[in-house]
Amino acid sequence: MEHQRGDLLDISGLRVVFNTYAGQVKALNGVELWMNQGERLGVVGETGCGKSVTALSVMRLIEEPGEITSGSIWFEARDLARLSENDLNSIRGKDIAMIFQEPVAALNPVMKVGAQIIENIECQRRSADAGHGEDKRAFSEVMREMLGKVGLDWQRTENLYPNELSGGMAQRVMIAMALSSRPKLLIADEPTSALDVTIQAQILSLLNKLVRETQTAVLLITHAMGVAAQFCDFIAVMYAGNVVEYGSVQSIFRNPLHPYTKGLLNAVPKIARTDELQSIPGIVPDLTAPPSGCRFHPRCPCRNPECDTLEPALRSVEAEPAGDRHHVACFLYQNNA
Amino acid sequence: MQSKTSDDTLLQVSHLRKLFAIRKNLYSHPLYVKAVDDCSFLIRKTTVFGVVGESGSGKTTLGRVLLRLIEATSGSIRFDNTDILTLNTQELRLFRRRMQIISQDPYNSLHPRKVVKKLIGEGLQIHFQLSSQEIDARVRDILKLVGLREEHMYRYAHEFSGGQRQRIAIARALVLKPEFIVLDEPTSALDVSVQAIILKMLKDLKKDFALTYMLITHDLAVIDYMADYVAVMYLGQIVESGSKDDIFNRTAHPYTRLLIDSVPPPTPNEHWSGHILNGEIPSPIHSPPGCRFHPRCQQAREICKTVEPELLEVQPGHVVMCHFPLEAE
Amino acid sequence: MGKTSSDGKMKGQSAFREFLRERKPMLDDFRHTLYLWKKTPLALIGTVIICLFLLVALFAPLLAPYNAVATDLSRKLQAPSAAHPFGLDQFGRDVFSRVIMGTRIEVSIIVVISVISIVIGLVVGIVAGYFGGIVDEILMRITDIFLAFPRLVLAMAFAAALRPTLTNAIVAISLVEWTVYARLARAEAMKIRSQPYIEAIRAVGAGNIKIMLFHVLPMSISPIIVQLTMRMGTIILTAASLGFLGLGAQPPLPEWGAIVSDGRSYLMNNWWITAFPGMAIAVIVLGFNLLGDGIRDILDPRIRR
Repeated sequence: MEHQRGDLLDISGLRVVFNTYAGQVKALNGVELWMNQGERLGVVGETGCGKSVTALSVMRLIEEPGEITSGSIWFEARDLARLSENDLNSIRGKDIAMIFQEPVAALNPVMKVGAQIIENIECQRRSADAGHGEDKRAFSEVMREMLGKVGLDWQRTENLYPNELSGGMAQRVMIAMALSSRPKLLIADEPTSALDVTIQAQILSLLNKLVRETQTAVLLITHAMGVAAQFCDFIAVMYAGNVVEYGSVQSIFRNPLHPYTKGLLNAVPKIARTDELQSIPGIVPDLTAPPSGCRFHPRCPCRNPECDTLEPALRSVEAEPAGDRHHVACFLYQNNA
Repeated sequence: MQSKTSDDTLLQVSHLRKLFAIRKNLYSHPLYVKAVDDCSFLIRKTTVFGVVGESGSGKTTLGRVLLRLIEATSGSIRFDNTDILTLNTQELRLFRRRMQIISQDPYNSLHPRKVVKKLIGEGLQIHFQLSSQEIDARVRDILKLVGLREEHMYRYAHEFSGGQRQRIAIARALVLKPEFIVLDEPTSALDVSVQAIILKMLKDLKKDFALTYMLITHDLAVIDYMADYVAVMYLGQIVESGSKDDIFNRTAHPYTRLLIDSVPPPTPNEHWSGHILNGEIPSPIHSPPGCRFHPRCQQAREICKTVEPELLEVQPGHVVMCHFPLEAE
Repeated sequence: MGKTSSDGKMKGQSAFREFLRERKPMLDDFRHTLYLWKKTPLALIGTVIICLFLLVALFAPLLAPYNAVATDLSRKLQAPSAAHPFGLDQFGRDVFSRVIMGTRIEVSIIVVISVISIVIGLVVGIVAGYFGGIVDEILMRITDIFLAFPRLVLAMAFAAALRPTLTNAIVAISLVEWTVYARLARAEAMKIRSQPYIEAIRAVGAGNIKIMLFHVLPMSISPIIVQLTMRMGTIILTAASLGFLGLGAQPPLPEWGAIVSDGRSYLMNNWWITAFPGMAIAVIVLGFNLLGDGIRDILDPRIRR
């Protein structure tokens, strides 16, 4: 139970299942993930890999029929997997904040935007310190300052209702709310997937600037490799409930090791790319009956005999510089099969 | 504007307009959304014509108007030298076989209560007088072509993954032996690895069957992979069009430049600027006067705010709608 | 598969097999529905009641021990006994036999009203929902006009204008009932029309009528069937009310509402004339309501699939 891999967040052996009528979905199969203060970790993968489930698990937002069956989620000095709801509430929205893919849907449709941000600030202050007797006016000031920081005109915006906001504006409001408490960690679950390309660039730029100011670490969930490559310092590649490769953004993109990572990167179209796209044969497994051993083995071009019986652990790649933190979960790179 | 038609022109669109009336209440004058505003272009046989744009650009409406799934307000669409906007229902049906569409949403573009065999065979029943054995045989063959198996014929759509459903949609279009297919964001809802398979399949099919595509998408990387010619749309107008090389390497319109620069490349450290142009995409109902892009344009000048730009031909076949087109480097 | 055989019988057999193969998912679906049906107590009880009802209607002449309309004034107003479980009315008629024969009338009322109102409702609703625009406006305003009439008032108007008969009562009820289904069908048609798969079929070249009949209609039918089952209770009550008021079935037809009305003046001392047909009405309405609730429960969680 070492938690010295990352001094901010260290997820170890996380297993999550969903008990649906169609069977038990083994969504997370022992996820290993860690990050330090102020870093940006991108979790990339395709549908069903478990990246969103991982993000929700950190905040303990997984509900029936899902449950965390084992593992630990160390956030600074505490294991979030074992905290009570009360303790968790003192962390949610304050030390750890989250923004989602559909910003308009995450806002209360019958409350004005300004009022919602103020309510958010009230929740943050109330349990963090005594802060009694804080003026409503003081909160208003904070709210207006935040709206300005995210590039919105507070005079116009504070009186709008969420359905009057465009996607980009709504996401800025969410960012304002999330960063108003200066959290240590911001979890962003596909924050720009629903936005137009030019708006996405704006939002990513904005996020970049703001998290640098507040020195917030970012856990960015995305399926867009371009977003991950430009925004993140480190990348974790997930497949069918496991982190199959982890490392600095340079090492992952320049020197991918896991066959899935290679396949994924070869499939991404890119402007001015000259070679043909490569695809990965087969389809994503059904997680109610996942493959034995390494979950990628049915589709792997480099399969070895042990791959269908033993599950590879995420191990460090010694040949690379330590700063790269390059780890891979594959028997091709482990001598002790 | 490419006005020279030749024998290899499949589709020639002139001054196409589609307006949607929005009425606030029963008494007010209707406001109009200029979804497609005076678009003209040529599509040559066996090429891929890419249409790229964001929300409100009108690209989706354009694809549907081309197939008369939405009726145009004015203009002409000459398919193989016949203006399909003048055809009546009977005549149009004959043309429908030759122009097909594959939509964005693999989860709703297939009838939820029909088996795959019926989904694909329906078109055959309408257009060809075939016995049920022949229909059966053709369905079998086309399924094989798109990488599915015979037993899939008797399943419902919801039993398939997103990528497989798009294959069924492609099979449905192909079985009629069309000449022209509109691909409306065919892979936007699919995973990256599945997208690669579908795009490659579309490329191969185009070669094998001498197809012509109109590829509508917001993803410039996909455009680069598939398209031969590109038209960039903004608020209902084509603001730039030309060969793919023109658009990417001799970009002339500031909006095209903005689009290309906004795409985060999937390679770290490739000097990505990510403009923080604080500008929202305007609503298509109240589009800005003069050049529609001027509120977000870094080089907008006085004339841009009042006068709509003409189409200028900056290179042969490369047109742009701008008062001050960007210089090629 | 024997398709190339020139033997006509073989061809017929394999065509049938092919027909079944195409519908296999639908049959699987149906089997799943039956499975869920058996697990839903409400639906089962309702089904049992309705089935009994239909069986009685089918075999009514065999089940009724006595003639339902023959009068025998010498034996009027006898209390329920072994020979006459529901007693005799003021004309000496066996109430039990009258109630049993009345099931046939009830069934015919329900069937005719259902068929008429659903057919009109579907046609109006689907056309309005599919085409939209001015067609929709006109059809919906017409629907509103019919909807504005309270059923009973309309029936009374009919009775005043024409003679009060069962047929006229049925027509009157149908004239208002169809509007419910028209609205439902329109809502469904509008939802379905904008689906991408309908657009895809248009792209393939199907004409409007084909689309409405073979694509929109099958998808709209299930909410209408559910609604029909849930409204069946109301329909029966309305028909019985009209019969009670003398505006529907005329004597000596043993329609249950009419029988209840017959016994009105004798309620204090000869309660059986009114009570038994009244209970029959209650049981049938209950049966349909339970069935309707059950169907709704069955369909609902499956939509979540």
